[in-house]
Amino acid sequence: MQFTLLQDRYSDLLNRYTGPAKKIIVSYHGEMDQDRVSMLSYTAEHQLDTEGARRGSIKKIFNILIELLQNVLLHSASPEYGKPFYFVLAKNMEDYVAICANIVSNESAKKIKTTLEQIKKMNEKQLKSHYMEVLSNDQYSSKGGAGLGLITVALKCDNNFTFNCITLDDNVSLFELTAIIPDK
Amino acid sequence: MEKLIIKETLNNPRVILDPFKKRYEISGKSFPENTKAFYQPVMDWLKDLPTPSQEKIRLSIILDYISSSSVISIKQLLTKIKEQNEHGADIEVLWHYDPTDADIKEIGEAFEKVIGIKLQFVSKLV
Repeated sequence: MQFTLLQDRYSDLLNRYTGPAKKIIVSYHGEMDQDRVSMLSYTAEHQLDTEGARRGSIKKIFNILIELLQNVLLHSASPEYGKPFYFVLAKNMEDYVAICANIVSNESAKKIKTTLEQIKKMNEKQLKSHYMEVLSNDQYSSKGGAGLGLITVALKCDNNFTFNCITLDDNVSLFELTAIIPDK
Repeated sequence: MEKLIIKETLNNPRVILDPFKKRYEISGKSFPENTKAFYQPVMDWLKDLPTPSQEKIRLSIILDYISSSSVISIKQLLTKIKEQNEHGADIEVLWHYDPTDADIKEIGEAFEKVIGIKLQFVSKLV
């Protein structure tokens, strides 16, 4: 199934991050699989290293990318929709911007929205304590860790992220997360 | 005790659990697609350890990246190790970390708090 909105937003992002003091480091639009997770994260790591990004920033970005990309792999809507996604890692002035979007069920979109709205209100101390609380809880889903990945993303970008859930039809939504990581 | 060897790939660590060479190690980057399935043989190996045991096992965990889903699987492995030690096994976990990167050490410390296991922290030479 084709989602033109995914393609349109991806094209918009490529335009948005092309120009003076901006640069696309890695970008991709297509179907997700585990090889794509490895390929995109290692390519990003290599490109960041080549362009002289700080080691601390590279590590944070690598962490965020794996969590975002594995979320696409594990939590995309359903087999009938496939796992279409886009991913853009760009530099904007002094910040790195990681954007990842995929198709999720409307039910998942609702849950992610609630989880992220809660996370967004937390300071670093509260985030760390929430991480410990989730880690202590043994009620994990078969696919992962009850939101541990999203807390990890929030911790790595100092909670500097935004997200969008756009309902596409009765079944699915487009979910997009943008994390901003200063190169410091 | 059987030997368990899993080769390292781009997204899963190398596993060596070799009682013949007395070498016990999990090393590399951990972000397999299905962490539960990846770590299941390690879990089974730990479950099959004879207890009480005469032999000390020093398991080195040398990971430089651990995804959030791997964190959960490794927590389950360490919980199993703690249980086996309570049943008479003698497994010591050496948790290696890079002193220039706070993440891995912090994950080890979180495991100590949550599981109540004692890890031996080993700083990598840099």
